[in-house]
Amino acid sequence: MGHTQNIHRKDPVQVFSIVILVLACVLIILPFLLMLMSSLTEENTLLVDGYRFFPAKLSLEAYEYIFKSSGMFLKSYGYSILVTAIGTIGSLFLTCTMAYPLSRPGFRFRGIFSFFVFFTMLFNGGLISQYMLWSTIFQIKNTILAYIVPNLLMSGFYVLIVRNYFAASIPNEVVESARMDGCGEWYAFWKIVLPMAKPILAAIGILTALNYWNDWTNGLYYITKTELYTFQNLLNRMIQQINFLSSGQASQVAKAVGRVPSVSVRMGIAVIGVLPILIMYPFFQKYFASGLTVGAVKG
Amino acid sequence: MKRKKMLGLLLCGAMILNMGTGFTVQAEELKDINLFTCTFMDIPSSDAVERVTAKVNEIMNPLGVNVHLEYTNVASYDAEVARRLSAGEQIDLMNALDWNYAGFLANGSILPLDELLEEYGPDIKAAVGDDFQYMLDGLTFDGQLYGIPQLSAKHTYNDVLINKDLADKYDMDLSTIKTFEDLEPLMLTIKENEPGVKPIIRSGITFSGTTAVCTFDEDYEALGDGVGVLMDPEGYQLVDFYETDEYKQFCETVHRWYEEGLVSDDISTSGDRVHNYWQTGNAFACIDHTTDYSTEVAGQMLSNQYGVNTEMIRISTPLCSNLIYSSVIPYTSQNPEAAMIFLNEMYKNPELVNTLYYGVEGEDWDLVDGFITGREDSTVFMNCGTSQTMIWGNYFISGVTAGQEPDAIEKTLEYTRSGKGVRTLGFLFDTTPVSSQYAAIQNVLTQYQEGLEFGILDPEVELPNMIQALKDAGVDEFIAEKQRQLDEWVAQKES
Amino acid sequence: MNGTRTKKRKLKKSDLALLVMLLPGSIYLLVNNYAPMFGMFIAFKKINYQKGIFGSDWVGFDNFEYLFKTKDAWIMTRNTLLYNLVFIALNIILGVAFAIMLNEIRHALLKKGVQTVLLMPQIVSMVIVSYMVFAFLSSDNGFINHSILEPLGKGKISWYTQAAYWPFILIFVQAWKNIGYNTLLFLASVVGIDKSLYEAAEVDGASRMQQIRYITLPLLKPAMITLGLLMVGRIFYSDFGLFYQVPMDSGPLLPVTQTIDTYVYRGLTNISNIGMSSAASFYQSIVGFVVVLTCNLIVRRTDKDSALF
Repeated sequence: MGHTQNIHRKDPVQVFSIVILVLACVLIILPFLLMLMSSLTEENTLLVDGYRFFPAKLSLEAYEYIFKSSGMFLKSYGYSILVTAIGTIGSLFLTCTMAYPLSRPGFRFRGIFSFFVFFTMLFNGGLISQYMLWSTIFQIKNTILAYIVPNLLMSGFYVLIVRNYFAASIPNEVVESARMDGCGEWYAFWKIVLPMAKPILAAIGILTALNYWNDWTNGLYYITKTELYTFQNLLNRMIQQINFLSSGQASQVAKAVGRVPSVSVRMGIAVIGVLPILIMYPFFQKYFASGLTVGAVKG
Repeated sequence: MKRKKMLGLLLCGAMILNMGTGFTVQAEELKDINLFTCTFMDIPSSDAVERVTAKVNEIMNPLGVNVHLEYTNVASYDAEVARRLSAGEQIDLMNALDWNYAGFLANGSILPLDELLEEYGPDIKAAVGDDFQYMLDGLTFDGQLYGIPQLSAKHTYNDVLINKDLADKYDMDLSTIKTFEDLEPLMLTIKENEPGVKPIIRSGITFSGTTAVCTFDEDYEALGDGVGVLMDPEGYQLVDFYETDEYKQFCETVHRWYEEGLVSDDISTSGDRVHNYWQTGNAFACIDHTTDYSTEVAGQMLSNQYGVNTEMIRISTPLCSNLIYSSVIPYTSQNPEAAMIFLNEMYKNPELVNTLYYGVEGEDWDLVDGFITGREDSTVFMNCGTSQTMIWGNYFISGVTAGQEPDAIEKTLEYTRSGKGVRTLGFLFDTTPVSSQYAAIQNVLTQYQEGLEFGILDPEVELPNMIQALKDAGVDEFIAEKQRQLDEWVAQKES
Repeated sequence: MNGTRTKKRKLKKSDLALLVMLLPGSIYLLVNNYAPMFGMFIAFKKINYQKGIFGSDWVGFDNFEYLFKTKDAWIMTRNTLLYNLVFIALNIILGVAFAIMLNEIRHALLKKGVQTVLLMPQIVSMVIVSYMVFAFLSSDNGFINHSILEPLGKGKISWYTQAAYWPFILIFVQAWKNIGYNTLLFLASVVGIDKSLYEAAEVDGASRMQQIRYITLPLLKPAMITLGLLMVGRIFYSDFGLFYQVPMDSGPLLPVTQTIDTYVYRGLTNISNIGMSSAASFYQSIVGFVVVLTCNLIVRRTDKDSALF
């Protein structure tokens, strides 16, 4: 009964929420829109007339330049998707198996291991020693593992967030009763805890996937062959290339590159980086966001 | 649906396999060397690297050397080198650029080369000869040679680049321009009549003090960092550059320009748009550093590139930097002899040099009427090539590229020979004892330098602030240490 | 007696199962995070490659000197701390508020749409964000000067030379960039709240506002504290992209944009001394460590369950 009332009643909280959120969305979209429009603006117009939402003169010059200077987009998309998929699944597995024991109130080593995880968030040995380890001992250079394993596979931050969620949102009695029924910890974890933790799995899953998709540092350190580049490495390389224009001497740069519509190209590169995610996000959501919209299973 | 999934899996599998293969079996008698280098523009694609590597090895394998080439962008070069050397990875040959040579020496990254040069580098010695002996001197440290100088045009001029179309439109007499200050009346004309055009824009990172000062003091020597400098043609007394009258005068001039609206507010953030201003005809002038032997040829090339008529006016005598790009052999080298053999070949074999600079003949470029002409579909490697001409081997034996005069290389060689090095050539300042001060000084410079040198900040107020901030940062100790090292060097040189 | 014994044994058995579960993650942390920590001693060495990293000379705290010997030390520490405090508070407040509001929306499509849009800034790197900011603020071509101030007859503002505006700009950009991320972290907790609690409250006649105030917020408290503590650990670090790239490395803005990370970067670009850069991150970690231990202690005194360990 209460439910139907909810729908018919004009709920001021809901109206307020909608207004604020829509306003926030507008604030977020505007810069993207300006970016899109400037990538489509003719270079000369951009310099004289400035950045506008309705430019006087449109041009596809920037995109022509981008696609001409790199024919590897499709392949690099492939690697990015592959890396993101494998990485996210692996990361969710490690994060949850690490977080679950830390959330169990009776677990004797809970404090020690929580600290063990937390300590990694504060201290790191620096890039050089990590590089030595992965590249010389584990030999991951120029393999797909180079994109997946260093740093990104598990973050102490997410482990502690998930631990916190397990502890706060999944009643201990539920787990205990499952264990009393003779199921082991693994069974309780797999059959009881994980299904109930869908919302946090969805959230961490999305964030991890974004981390993988956005990462270009691993590629920079461990991948030396351009044909193995992921999408972000390709974009990063193009941005470096454009940035050279700002550090070089006019005459030397001019000899080297000739005509480059640099302002609109940069904006174009950004657009090309954002679009695939926007297109893929609804598919993403089908898997992840069900947890976030449907809500938790009742305990 | 199922089939699609299978196909996806297969694709993934193929990709993983694809990523795993990177090994090629080497013949036993060949010595492998890894060359690690940077490009200023773009790094070449893998297939281009493979192509060039194959061609290079075609030349080098008969000499018992097998070369692996690896490129990285100059932006990540220093970090990449530090990482690889710390990890002990084998690099047999790499570049030292003007800013990192002293650092390599200070932390022991590179090997002394005298004996190797003696034994395996006869052609290097021949190419360097007496004319460029000063470069070898410049790379000698504590009596030992650590770098092999790259040979190409080394003198820099300060030039003014003018938009000729606009100059003609207002009937300007460009011959009146002798120093950069002479630009002022011309720029005022532009400012009044051409509202969309920027009277002066920056040229990349320059149009900054150190550049401009050269135009009225030829005895100025920056000595690397440009903080403690020589302004005195006779002695070796270092001064704080930012406290000199010359610097103050320069800042005042530019600040007046700013007040007159000749310099735009955007100038400090506009570095990346310099070329767009030229290409779209929205720039009138800039001050540029060039190494070209002829202003006419250089101006003409720029005109072609920009599609706007430009004229280049030389406002300085040649200035020779005491810092030279060089090739060095890191301590992680497994085959230093083979590296020197390869290096030696770069000073005598035009085919090798052209391949390293411009790619493979018949695939990346063709010889058209004696000019190296890049192919449309291979622009990437040509772009990298342009920076490679400045960092590897002997440019004076390479081919002439399209757009140059037929005898451009000879002319460049001639004019490079005719110049001479600055007095402090060969002095390398080891900043390690004052690295704290150096770090602080860098931060002070970031805060004030551009603002003052672009005229945005008022020198009456901000210049004293900067001088004080430099003092707080320890500039006196910094210069004292530099002076101590310089005096030692002078004493050693004269004895 | 018999009963307690079996109970004890059972407990041990479950401990063992949990330890096995911890194994894969722990191995990863040992390899990826703990093993490289030997690199921290570089902070106390003067690296000479020919002597090797291990054989290089010990120099005590020499590598740390540059962080303190300058007048900027105060400015960069102040900036780093103040910005981080604002960011932590703002991220938690906005994250919670947006998560609750998002949960209030009944319209499924609208909800999904808003969620997607909120995450958009998370997809772009700070470099790209700096281009967007520049598109608005460029003094000659920027949207604000060119299309807003000029038509209004107001003078141009030279954004990149006026330090006074930048604390607000940086705070706005930071919030803009991370809003989706923080919302998502709290949204999971909001969604995870047992629906029956609300239903019971509704029966008692509680309004939506009251439900949020007395049910949602208290239940989110542990999540807020955890997140806050985790962020406090990085209080001496700063987002390099935000403080270096977004202000376009503009000198006059330095008094309000200089942080420890940017100081180190600017100071070391010309020397590339790995000892000195290691020293900086060592210093940042130690301070973060001390601060977080203190905060955790305070939390443990007041609310034992919310403490990190």
